[in-house]
Amino acid sequence: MSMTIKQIVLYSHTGEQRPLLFKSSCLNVITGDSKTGKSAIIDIIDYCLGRGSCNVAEGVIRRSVSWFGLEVENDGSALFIARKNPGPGTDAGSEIYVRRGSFDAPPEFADLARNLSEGELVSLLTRFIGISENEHRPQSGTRLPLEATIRHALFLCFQKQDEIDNRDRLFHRQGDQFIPQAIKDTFPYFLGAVDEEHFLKQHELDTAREALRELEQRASRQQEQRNIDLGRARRFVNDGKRVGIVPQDFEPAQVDATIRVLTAASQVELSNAAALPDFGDTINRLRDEQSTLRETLYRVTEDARTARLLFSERSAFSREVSEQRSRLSSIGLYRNEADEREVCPVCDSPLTVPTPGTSHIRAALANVSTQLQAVEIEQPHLQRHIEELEAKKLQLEKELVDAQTALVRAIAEDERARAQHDALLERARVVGRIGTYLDGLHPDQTEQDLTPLIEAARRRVEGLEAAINADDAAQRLDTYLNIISKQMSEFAKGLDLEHSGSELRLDLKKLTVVADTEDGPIPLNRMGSGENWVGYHVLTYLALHWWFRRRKRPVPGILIFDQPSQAHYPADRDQEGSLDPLEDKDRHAVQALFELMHAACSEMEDLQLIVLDHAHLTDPWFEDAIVEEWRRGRFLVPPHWDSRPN
Amino acid sequence: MSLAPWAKRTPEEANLFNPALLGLLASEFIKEFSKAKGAPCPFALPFCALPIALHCKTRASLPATTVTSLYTWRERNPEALVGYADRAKSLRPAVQEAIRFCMDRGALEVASDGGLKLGKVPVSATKKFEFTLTRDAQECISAARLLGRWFAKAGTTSTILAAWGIKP
Repeated sequence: MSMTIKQIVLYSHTGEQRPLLFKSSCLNVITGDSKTGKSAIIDIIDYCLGRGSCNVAEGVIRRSVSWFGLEVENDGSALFIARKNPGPGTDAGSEIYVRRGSFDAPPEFADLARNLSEGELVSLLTRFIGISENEHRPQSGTRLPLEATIRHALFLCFQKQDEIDNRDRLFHRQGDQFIPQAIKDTFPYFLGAVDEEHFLKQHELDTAREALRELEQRASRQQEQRNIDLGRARRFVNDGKRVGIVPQDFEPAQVDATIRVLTAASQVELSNAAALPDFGDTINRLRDEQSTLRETLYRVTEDARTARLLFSERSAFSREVSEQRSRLSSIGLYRNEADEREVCPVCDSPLTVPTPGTSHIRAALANVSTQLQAVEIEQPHLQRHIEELEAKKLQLEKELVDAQTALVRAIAEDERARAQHDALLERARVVGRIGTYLDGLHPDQTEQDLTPLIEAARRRVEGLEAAINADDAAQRLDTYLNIISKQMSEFAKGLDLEHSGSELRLDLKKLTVVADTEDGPIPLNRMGSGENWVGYHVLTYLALHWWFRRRKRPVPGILIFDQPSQAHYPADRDQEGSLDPLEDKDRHAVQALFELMHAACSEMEDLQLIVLDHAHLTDPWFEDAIVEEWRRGRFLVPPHWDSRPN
Repeated sequence: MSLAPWAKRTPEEANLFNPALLGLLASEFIKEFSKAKGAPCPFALPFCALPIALHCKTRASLPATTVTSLYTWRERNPEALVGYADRAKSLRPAVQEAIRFCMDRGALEVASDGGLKLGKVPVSATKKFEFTLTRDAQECISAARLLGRWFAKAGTTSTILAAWGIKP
C-alpha cells in the first residue's frame, strides 16, 4: 500500500468544520467554476505535508480559514495533520498539530494546539510513507549529501495549472532554485535503481578504505625504521667506547660488523661483580632496610583498601535498604486504612491475587527499619579499623623517607662509591639507548607482519567496490527509465498527440520528455501546441506512478492534476462543464484525456488520482468519479465563513 | 504476567514497587494531568507514565519544563524507547494493583467517562514528607508530576501512546 488522502478538513475561526472527503485508490474529480477554490487544494495539501511556506493564494481562503487539516492513510494506519493558517500577508506558521490512530471524526477545533515542529513533521511523514535511510552522494563531492524526504517524493505527485501545460518544466517546482538538482539526485532512489542497502554498503566501503589506508601507513613506517643510517650507528659506538662497553680499537666502517658490536654492547650485564664493585656495608644495610619498609607499606595499604571496600559494601546495602524504607513510607500518607482485599474495587469481581492491605506494607516498613538499625550499629567498628591502618601507613611512609635520606647521605660520604654510581648510571643509559636503536632496526618477533592484513583489506575494498559499482546503478536506472518510457508510449496510444507514434523517452539529465523520430530527437520544449504539452505531462506522471506502484516504491500514491483540459476547454468557455460548445476535435481530445486517466486508475490498484477541472463529462464512470461539484453557490470554503463581504 | 501474593514476593522487589508508593505516583500524575487538562485522566496513561517516572535513566533525560513538546523530546532522545516496552509490560500488574490499592482507600475513583480522578480522601506528597525521602524517591515524585502536565499538552491518548512506540 502507499499513502493516500482520506480527507481535507478546514476549520473556520469560529470552529466550524468543512470536510472534503476523497475516495481512496481511484479517480477523484472535483469539477466547478473558476474561483471556487480548486487550485488551492494542491497548496493546502502541500502545506500540510510539510512545505516551508504556505502558498495558498491571498483571498477568501486565507481570510476565513483558521486551520488547514489533512488526514492521510497508509496501510491501515491513519495520520491527521493540522497546520494553522498563517493568515493574510505572511506565509509561514509554526503551529502544527498531529494525531495518530483511526478516529470516527476529525479532531475538535478546541483540541488543535501545537505539538510538533516543522522539521519533525517532515521526518514523521518521511517515515510514514516508508522512506528508509538513504543519502545521495554526489560524485564531484562539491555538494552536500542529500537525503530523500517526503518533500522530494512530492515533486512527483503534483501538477499545478501553470505546470501541466508548461513546455520547459516537466516536474512540479522544476523552475525553483536548486529543485532540478534535488529531483535528479533523488530520482534514482525513488525509481528503485539504488536501494537503501546501496548507502549502507557505501558507508562500509568508506570504512574499509580508511582501514586499508591506515594499514599501508603503518607498513611504510616500519619500512622507514629498518633503513640503517651508519652515521647514527657511529654515534652509538662512540658513546659505547666512552662508558667502556665497546672495545676502544673498534672502527665502525661496515654496517653488519657495527650492528654486531652494538648488539653485544647492549647485552652487557650491568650488575655483575666486575661491573659493580662493593659499595660498603652501610649502603647495603640501608638498601635492605628500605626494601623491607617498602614491603610492609604495601601490605598495610592493601589491608586499608580491603577494609574500605568492605565498608562501602556495607553502606551500599544500607543505601539500598534506606531506599526501600523511603519508598514504603508512602503508606503514611493514606488517611484511610484497609485490609487485604480479594475483590476488584471497579468491577467487584474476585481477584486471583489479593490487593495487599495497609498492615502488610507497615510490616515490611518495620522490617527494613530494623535491618537498617543493625547495620548502622556495626559500622563504627570498621571505621575505627580503617583509621588505625591509615595512621600506620603514614608512619611507614615517614620511616621510608628517613631511610632514603640516610642512604643518600651514605653515598655522598663515599666519594668512590659516588663515582661508581655515576658511571653505572651513565653506562645503563647508553645501554638503554643502544637497545632502543637496535629494536628499531630489527623489529622484534611481536611486531606483526602486515602484508597479509593489507592484502585482505585490499580484497575487501575491491569486493565492496564491485558490489556497489556506480555503473551498475546507472545501468539499472537506464533500464527502469526504458521500461517507464515504454509504458508512456503505451498510454500515448489513446491520445491523439503529435509524435505519439514515435518512441517516447524520459530524459533525466534534462528533466524532459523526448520523442525519438526519424528526423532526430524532439524534446518537449520543441514540440508545438498546448495540448501536446499537457498530454506529455499527464503521460509522464501516469507512467511514473505506474512504476512506483508496481515496485511498491515509497512515493505517496497520490497524483493531482489541476485543469488538464485547459488547452481544449479554457475557463472562459465553461458552460456548466458541458463539452457541447466545443468543436468536435476538442471534444474528442478532452474525452480521450479523461478516458486515459480513468483507464490508468482502473489498471493501477492503489493510485489515488485527483483531477481539478472545469469539464463535466456525461459518462456514468465520470459521474461516479465526481467528489464534489462546485457551481451555483457551492465552494471549497462556505461563503458565510468570510467575515468581510465583498 | 501477574504478581505473586504479597507474602510470596521477593522482598526487594515488593518493597521498591510497593502499591503505596506507586499509588502515590499515580495520584500525583493524575492530579497534575487533570489540573492542566480540566478533565479526568484516561485510564491508559498512568500505565504509560509510571514506567518512565520509575526508570532512573529515562527520568534523568526528561526535559526541565513542558515547553519542549513530547515529540520533539522523543526525536532528540531515541534511547529513551530502548527497553521501554518491556518495562511497561512488566510494571503493568504493579500499576493495576496500585490503582486498586488507592481505590480501596478512597484515594482515587473512576470518573463517569471511564477515566480516573482523585477520590474523596486523596493522597499527596507534602513538602515535609518529601524531605524524609531518599533522592531517588523524590525524583520519582517530581517526574510523575511533570509527566502529568506534559501529557496533558501532548494531544490525544493515541498520539501519546504512539510517541512511546505503542500502537494505538
